[in-house]
Amino acid sequence: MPAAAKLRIATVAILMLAPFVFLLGAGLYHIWETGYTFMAWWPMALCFLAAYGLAWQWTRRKTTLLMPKAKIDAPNYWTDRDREAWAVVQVYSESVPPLAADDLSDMTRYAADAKVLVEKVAAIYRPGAKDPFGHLTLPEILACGELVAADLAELVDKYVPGSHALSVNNFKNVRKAVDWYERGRNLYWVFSAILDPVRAGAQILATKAGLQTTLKQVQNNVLTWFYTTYLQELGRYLIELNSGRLRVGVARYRELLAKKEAPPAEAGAPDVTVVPDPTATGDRLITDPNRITIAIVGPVKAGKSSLVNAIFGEQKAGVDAVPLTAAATRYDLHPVGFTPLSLIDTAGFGHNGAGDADVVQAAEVFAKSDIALLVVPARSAARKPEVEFLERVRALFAKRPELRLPPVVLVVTNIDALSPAMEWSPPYDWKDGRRPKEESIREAMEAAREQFAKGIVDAVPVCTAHEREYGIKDELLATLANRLDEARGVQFLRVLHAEASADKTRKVIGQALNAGKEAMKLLWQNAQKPR
Amino acid sequence: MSDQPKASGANLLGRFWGEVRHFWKPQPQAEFDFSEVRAKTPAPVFWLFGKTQSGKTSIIRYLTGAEDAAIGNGFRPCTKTSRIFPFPTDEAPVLTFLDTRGLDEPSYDPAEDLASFDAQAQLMIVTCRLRDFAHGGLRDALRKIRTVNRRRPIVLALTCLHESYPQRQHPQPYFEALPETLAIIEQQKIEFAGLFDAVVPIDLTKPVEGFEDTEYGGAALKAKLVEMLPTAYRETLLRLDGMNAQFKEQYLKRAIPVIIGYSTLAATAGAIPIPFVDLFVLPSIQVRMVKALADASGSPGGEKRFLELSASIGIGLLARQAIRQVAKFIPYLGSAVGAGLAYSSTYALGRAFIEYDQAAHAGHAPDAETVKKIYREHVQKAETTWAKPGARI
Repeated sequence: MPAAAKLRIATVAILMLAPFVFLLGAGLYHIWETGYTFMAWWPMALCFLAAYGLAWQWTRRKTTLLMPKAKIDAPNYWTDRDREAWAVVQVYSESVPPLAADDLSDMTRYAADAKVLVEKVAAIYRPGAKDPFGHLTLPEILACGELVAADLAELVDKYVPGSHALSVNNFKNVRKAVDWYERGRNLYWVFSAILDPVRAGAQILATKAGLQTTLKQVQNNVLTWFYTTYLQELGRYLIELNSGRLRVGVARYRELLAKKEAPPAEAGAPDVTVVPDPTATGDRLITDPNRITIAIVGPVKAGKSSLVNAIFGEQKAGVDAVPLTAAATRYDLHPVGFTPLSLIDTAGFGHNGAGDADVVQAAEVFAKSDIALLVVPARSAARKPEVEFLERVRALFAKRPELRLPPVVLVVTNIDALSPAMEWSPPYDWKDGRRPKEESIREAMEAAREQFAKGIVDAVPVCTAHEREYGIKDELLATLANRLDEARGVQFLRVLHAEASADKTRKVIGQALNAGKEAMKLLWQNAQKPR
Repeated sequence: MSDQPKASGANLLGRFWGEVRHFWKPQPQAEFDFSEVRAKTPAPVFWLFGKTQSGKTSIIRYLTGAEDAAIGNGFRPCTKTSRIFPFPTDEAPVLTFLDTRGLDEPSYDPAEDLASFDAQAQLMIVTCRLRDFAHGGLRDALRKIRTVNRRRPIVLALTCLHESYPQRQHPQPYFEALPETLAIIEQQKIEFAGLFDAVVPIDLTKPVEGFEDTEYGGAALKAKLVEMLPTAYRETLLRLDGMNAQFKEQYLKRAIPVIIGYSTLAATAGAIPIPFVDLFVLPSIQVRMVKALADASGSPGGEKRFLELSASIGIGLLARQAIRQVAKFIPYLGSAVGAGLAYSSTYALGRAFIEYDQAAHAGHAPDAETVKKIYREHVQKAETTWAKPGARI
């Protein structure tokens, strides 16, 4: 800005402010002259006191700030390893020393703290690795930066009023303004001391003790909030980066994330297709983020196929007295008012003893699913093999820490066979009912919950017998709906990793092709240009 | 080395003297080691092999007539993965059940159970819920057991038949099964191929389940067990069964198995062709029986007066001691007569005590003549069942 313009603006401002300054002086003189100083002093003192009190209250602890808590909630899809890293990020972000206004524009400070954080996070994902960025690709790292910047911009825009117009210099000027305020106030003290030395002395003491420090605190507050948020945002995306979720690129990452957050798909007509052998058709569907994949596992003849039938409401799977399901069958359906589902009906285990092959196979299905239904018959109390099966699947999953184990819902089938066996007159209020059957169901469910303890998230009693279906449409589907959010989190990770590994080669070829296409286009355009 | 024979000789003398003293003055809490006699007694030992809730307890309940609580309390740990239920008493069991509990563990290894059960168990009952096909682990263990001893019969009991026809009564008469039930039975037979000698579909339920026939297939199972047991053991089972079927009174239902247990034990002791051994052993067995009966009827200590009375009027073994010893000197014939007499006198003494005890509870203890009369009556009846096991008396 040219100096002349500055002078003109200053002149206009002074001229505009002059009457008010005059009024201020005249008013003060008038109050003093008329002897009302004492009466006028009290409301003013009360205002100051209230301001001081509130400011003190709001800045008392570092966590209850004027600004929102600089705390980002961990996304629900994060794995145990991600949460471990997140804890480290939080501890670090909260331990940074308070920031002065000058530091805000100091880029070396950002870089230095970012470096520490990068190393801390990388140490969790790659313990012992020398270079924390060694295993990452350039697009991933750039994606991380982009996401941090975008999120931070959004946050500042949301919480700092007028931030769209604030520059770093503005921030510095705020601090200068505070200094100017102090200078101006000192001048006021000088005048008022001449007019009323005793009262002025008391005022000076009060202000020095409170307001001045409070103002500084508020300022520091905003700065610390900004910086802590910066570190947490960085940490969050470092976690995404290190766990390999940014490999699909920013656009696809955002797209999948949006799908995960999206409300359940709108009601569609029931559309059922049966894919008898998913291995034959490849795993195409598995990366479809619009579908929730449900694994159905359990001991042989536990009623898995009957459960599928009951969910379909019609005889689809080959339900027979003999174990029919050889390997695994996938059923796709779109229930009315529900997300499209894929059910993977697996071969039961335990038919030939607790073999490792059963467990490996089930773990494979688990890895392709977003939620799992463990089906056990109500009458069997020998659940040790099933409990151990879950433990072993969990152990296999522990070897792939970038994925989350789908939540396991226990489905207790054949509740009609529970004592008294001859009776079947639903509906049963198994949670509070007093009828013998209701008590039997309750006991069976309590026993099952105890046996599986933390291995399951929910337990649902059902009857899948033809024309005696019970607990499927209401209780089971409601439970699944409740777990949908968690399932989407599992799916988000699964799809990201599946796409990243599947697309790696394709992307390289695609990029080469694109580059070639651009080159050709340029050549063509050049050739077209009239010379 | 030189002292050894002398020492054991003195030991033997000491034991002998102890037994003589015993004989003259029988003590209710007399200590005598029956293990040798018990080992020779033909009391069937069933090895139950099946997962939890596959119907093992129902089979025990059906065969013994005992209540669930009694069965539960009667079980005691045996090996790390198994437990044992001697019925009705640990001292003189008629039937013994070995229950392998480790089968629910995927890593169950039958080696330890084999080592301790192999010599004991005459028969294996494999229980399997009809609609349960997750038996891979069980079959692996069963195969190992079968390899060690192929001669021990295995009865495959397919339980919970009603699960194949939910909320319907059992098809009658046994075994007019529905086609789908038959199909699953055939499937299970294929699954267990080579691992069983007989298949019996059963459904033993409690009245609360609502089935008209609560012992569906029970008779078939019992017949199969009788058929598969060695002769002597078969007779014990039949004797118990014949008696169990006759009585409705709760106190008799509880007491009769105890009496049969001790009587069978006495028969074994009586059959040992060594003179004078039973002279000491048999009175001791009878005293123990009366004490066990008194305990079971809820009047511990109530046996004292009865024992004094029976000693004074000469019922039980004391009366016929001389005859038995003479009979025993005649080879073969001697032991048979000894066994029968030991059985019937023990049985009759037990029955006499029960009548005495019941009357005493009611407030008027019967006199010596009445007791003597009851005793003689039951001796005759017992002789019949000894000759014809399972006969009703």
